[in-house]
Amino acid sequence: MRHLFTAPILAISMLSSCSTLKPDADPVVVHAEQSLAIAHETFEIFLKLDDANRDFIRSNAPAVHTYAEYLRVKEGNPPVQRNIGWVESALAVKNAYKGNRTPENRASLSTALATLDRVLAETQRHLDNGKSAVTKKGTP
Amino acid sequence: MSWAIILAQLPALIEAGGNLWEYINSIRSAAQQDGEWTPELEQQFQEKLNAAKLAPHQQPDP
Repeated sequence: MRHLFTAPILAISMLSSCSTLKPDADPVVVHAEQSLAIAHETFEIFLKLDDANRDFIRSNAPAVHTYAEYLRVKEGNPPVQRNIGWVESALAVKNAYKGNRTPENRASLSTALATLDRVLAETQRHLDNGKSAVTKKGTP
Repeated sequence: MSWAIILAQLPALIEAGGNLWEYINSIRSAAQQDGEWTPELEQQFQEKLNAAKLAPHQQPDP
């Protein structure tokens, strides 16, 4: 059942990597943009699952709900949800690289994406657990 | 724009599970060459982020 949600992420990556790039496209930028889109959608799907079953998940899969709340914490100035802030930060780093494609900016982008990847893996794990808990409950 | 198609399909794709390859094959037929986001796609993505900030599922427990 775990593959149900991790496989799509891997397949998306495979789909993306198998696609041909336009001649003027920078693969670093294309990969970054794909990663940002996947990250945001994964956060959204996870938080929607938790929101639709808040009381149940809080009681029956508390670690899942705790992680959802962690993603929802607002931080920064202006305050935005942590998960959205991560994506926006990586987006800014991506655009900084797009504006000035230096090795330093590329390294910063790689670091930002690696951080996002780690969080994404954690989110995927909690999404799997949350979905399993809700499925056992018997409601969609 | 091929990536726009993939973006639109992304939520279903992530939840597809066993039907994943059907989704991929349907998308690949439409996917041509990937390019960097146009300004329009960039704006579209930022608008998605802004909308998410206000969404109920993004709000902490009361």
